[in-house]
Amino acid sequence: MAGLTVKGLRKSFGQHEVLKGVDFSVESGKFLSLLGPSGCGKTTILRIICGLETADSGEVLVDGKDVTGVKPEKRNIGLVFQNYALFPSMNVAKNVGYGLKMHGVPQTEIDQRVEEALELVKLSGYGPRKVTQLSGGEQQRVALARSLVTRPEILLLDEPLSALDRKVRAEMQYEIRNIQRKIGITTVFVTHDQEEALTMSDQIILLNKGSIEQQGDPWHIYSQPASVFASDFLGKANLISGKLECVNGQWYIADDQIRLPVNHVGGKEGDTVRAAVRGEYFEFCGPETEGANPFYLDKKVFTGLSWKLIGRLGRQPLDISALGISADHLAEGGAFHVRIQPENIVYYNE
Amino acid sequence: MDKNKRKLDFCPGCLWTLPSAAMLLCLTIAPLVMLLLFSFMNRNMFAGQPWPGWTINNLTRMMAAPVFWRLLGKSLLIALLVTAICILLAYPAAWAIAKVVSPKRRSLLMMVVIMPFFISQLLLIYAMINLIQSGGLLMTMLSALGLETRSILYTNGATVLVLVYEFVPYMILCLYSSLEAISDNVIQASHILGANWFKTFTNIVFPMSVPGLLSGILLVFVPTAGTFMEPDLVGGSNGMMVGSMINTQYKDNLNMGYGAILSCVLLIVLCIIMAIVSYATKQAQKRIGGDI
Amino acid sequence: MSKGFNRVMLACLVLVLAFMYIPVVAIIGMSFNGTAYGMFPYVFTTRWYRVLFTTSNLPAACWLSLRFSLSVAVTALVLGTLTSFGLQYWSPKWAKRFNFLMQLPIIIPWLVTSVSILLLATFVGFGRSYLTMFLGNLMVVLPYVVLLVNGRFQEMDRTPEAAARLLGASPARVFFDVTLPGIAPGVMAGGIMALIVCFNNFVLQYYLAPVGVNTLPVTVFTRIKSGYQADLNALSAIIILITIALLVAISCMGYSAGSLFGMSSSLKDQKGE
Repeated sequence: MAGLTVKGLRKSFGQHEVLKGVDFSVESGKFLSLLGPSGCGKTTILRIICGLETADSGEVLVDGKDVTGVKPEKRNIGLVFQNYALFPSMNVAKNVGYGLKMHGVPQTEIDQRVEEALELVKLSGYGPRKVTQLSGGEQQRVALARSLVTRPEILLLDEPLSALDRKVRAEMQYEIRNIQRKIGITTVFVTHDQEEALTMSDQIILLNKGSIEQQGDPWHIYSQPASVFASDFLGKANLISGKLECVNGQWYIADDQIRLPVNHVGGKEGDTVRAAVRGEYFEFCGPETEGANPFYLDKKVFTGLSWKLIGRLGRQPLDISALGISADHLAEGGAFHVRIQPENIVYYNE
Repeated sequence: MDKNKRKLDFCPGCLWTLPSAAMLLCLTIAPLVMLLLFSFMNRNMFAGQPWPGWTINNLTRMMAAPVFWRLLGKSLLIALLVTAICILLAYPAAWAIAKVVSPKRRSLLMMVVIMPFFISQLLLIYAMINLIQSGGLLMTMLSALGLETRSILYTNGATVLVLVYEFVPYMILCLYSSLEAISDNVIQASHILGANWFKTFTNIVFPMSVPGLLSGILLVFVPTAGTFMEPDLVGGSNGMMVGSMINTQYKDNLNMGYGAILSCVLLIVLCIIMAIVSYATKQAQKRIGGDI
Repeated sequence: MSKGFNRVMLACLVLVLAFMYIPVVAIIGMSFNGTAYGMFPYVFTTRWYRVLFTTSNLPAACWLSLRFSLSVAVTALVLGTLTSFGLQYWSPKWAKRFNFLMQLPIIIPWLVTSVSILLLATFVGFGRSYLTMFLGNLMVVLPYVVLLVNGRFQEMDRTPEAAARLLGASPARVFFDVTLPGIAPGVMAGGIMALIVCFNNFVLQYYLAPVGVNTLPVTVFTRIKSGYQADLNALSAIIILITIALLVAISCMGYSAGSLFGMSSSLKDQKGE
C-alpha cells in the first residue's frame, strides 16, 4: 500500500478556474474524504489523480513517485464512479474480471480472484448475472469489487453512494469502510454530504471554489470550523455577530442584549466579529448563572432524536437542539436562559 | 494565452475525423468549387488538356434563355404543389398514428409507412406507371364503371402524382415525430378549459407541430425541385423540369459549362429557400420553447 | 380531441396507406399476369419469373448493385463510426459546424452532387469510373452513418470507457470492448441505411458509373423508358417481398423501424417494452 501526495494542482476549463492550487497528502492505509458543495472541484481532483484529466500544473505522487505524466491505464489506481460505470455488455463476472484480463492474468486465476472479490462485497454467486438486472446497491458492490480485484495502490470513490436510497446508503457506508479497513487500502472519497464524510473518514478536506478551506480529522473539523463557510457547510451552525469585549482578562462577544464568553484567538476590543455556534452546545440554566443569556423560544419542532428549538438569542436568530426529555417542559413563546462554554465558540473577523 | 489554450484542448482522438473531413473537402466542397469554375469556362475540359480560357458566355446565354427561367419557375411551382399535397395527406395520417391508434400499434404502423423508403424509388415509379397507364388496372376499372377518361400518364399531372407518392412517407415521418411529442395532457387541458377541437388544433396542436412541418417541407421540397427522373419517365414531352434541362446538358448536348451554371443557379435558389425555411424553424422552436 | 375528429383522421390514414400500397400490391399481382403489357384479362402465370432468371439482364445488374452497395456500405460504416467517435472529442461548437457540413451531401440535390463530382472527376482524370462511382456514393451515404452513430453517442453513458482505461485497458481495447458494444445499434442502423440508400441511388450511378456498366437502378431506368417490362414486375415483386422480410426481421431483433432514422421517440418505445 502506498501514500498519496498532491502538490499545487491547478486546472481551468476555459475561463473558469476550477482548481486554484490544491496540496494535500494521505498516509498509507488512511481514508480521506474530499468534502464540498457541487462545483468545488472535488471530482476534478479525483480525475487528475487517476489520470483521466490533466492538470494545468502541479503533480501527483504515489508512494513518493511522480505519476503526473503516466497514462491512466498504467497507474494502478482504482476508481468507483458515481453512476457505477459498469459495462452493460458484460455479466457480473466479466465486469469484475476485466481488469485482471487486461493485466494478462490467466483465466483460472481470474475466476478465483473474481469469486474472492465478489465474496468480499457479499455478492457470492452473482457472477453469471446481467449487470442491468441488479439493484443500485448491488451494482455499486460490483463496481467496488471491480476496482478492488486488481489490487490497486489507491482507491478513489467519486460520490459512490449519492444515487442510492437512504437505507441502502447507510449500509454501504458501513460496508465500504469495513472493506477498506480489512484490506488497508489508501482511499480518497469524494462527497458533498457532510454526515457521510464525518462518519466514514480518518481525515477530511473541506473544499470551496477550488481551494482547500480546512483539513483535519472529523472531530476537529466539526467542532472547530476554520471559517464561516466551514461552520455552515458542516451541519447547521448558528452565526451570531457582535463586538469583541475584554473584561478582567475574559473575552466576550457581545451586543446590547447578549454576552457570550470566548477564547481569544485574535482581534482587538471593539472589532465586529461573527461567531459560529452549534445548537447542541447550548444548555439551559437559571437567570443568575454565570454567562447566562436570554433566549426567546418561538417554535418547537420534534425531529425524532431531539427537539429543534427555534428562537432568538437576544435579537439574533438561534436554533438549539435538545434531547427529548430536556425540552419537554419548555413552552413556545417563553423566555429562558442559556449558556455555552467558551471552547465551543469559534469566531471570525468580519 | 489564447494559443496556449487551444494547444491544451487539442486531443489526439480528434484525428479520427480526419478521413471524413478530407472526403468532405474533396468530394463535397471541391466539386462545388469546380461547378463554379466550369460555369465560366469557354469549353469543356478534360484532364491532360490545356486549361481553357475564361468566358461569361454561359452566363449571358442563361440570362437570355427564357426556357431556363420558365422551367425553374415551373419546377418550384411543382415542388410547392407536391409539398402542399403531401402536407394535406400526411397531417391527418401522422395525427392518426401519433394520437388515435394505441401505442402498441404505433411502431408497427410506422414500419408500414417507412417501408417504401427501402424500395427503390424507380420501382415505386414503375409500380405507379403500371397502375395508371392506359389499359392498366386503374383505367380498366374506370372504364368498367363507365368512366372513359384518358390516362394522365405522360402529363405534368403524372409527375406530381408520382412525386407525391414518393415523398408522402417523409412528410408523415417528420410530422409524426413532432405530433407524438405533444403531451396528451396539454390537449386534454385545452378541452377542459373549454376549447373545441378546432380551437385546440389552431391554438395548441398546430403551433407545436410547426418544427416537424418545416423539416418535412425541406425534405420534400428540395429534392422535388431538383429532380429529373420523374418528369423524364412519366412527364411526357411537355413534362420537362429544370433538372431535366441540366441533365440534357450532360447526357445529350455535352455542354458542361452551361450545365454547370444552371446547376449553380438551381443550388443558389434552393439554398435561399432552405435558409428561409430553417430561419422559420428556429423562430418556431423559440416560440414553443423547445430545442428539438 | 373529439371522437368524430379522430375518426376522420383515422379514415384519412387508411386512405393514405391505400394510396401508398395499392400500386405495390398491384405490381405483385401483375407479376403473375400472363397477358402482355399488364392488361386484362388476368391470366395466372409464372412465366415472367422464369424469364427473369433465364434471359433477363436484371439479375446480373442486381448482383452487381448488391456487391457494389455492400462495399460502399461497409466502408461508410467503418469511416462513419470513426468519424463520429472522433467528433466526440471536438468542442460542441465545432462539432456542430462539422455536422452541418456533413449534412450537405444529403441536403444538396443529388443531381447537383452528381454533376459536380463528375466535373471534378473529369478534371482530375478519373472520368466516369468505378472509383468515381464508389467515392460519390460513399460521400452520399456517409452522413447517414455519422448522424445515426452521433445520436447513439449522445444517449450513451461514456463513464464505462473511463472505467475500462483505469482497469488497464489500452485505448484500442476500450474502443472494441466497451465503446463499440455501446454504439452497436447506431452503427447497425447506419449500415442498413447506407446499404439501402446506395443500392437505390439512381442519379449518382447514372452519372458516375463507367460507360457500359449498368447497375440495377440504371438498368431499371432505361428499361422503364422503353416501356412495359414483365420481368421487371417479377423483380419488383421479389425485391418488395425481401424488403418486407428484412424489416420484419429487424423489428423482431428489437429495433423499431423508426430507430433506423434516429427517431428518439421510437427508441423510447423500444425501451418501454
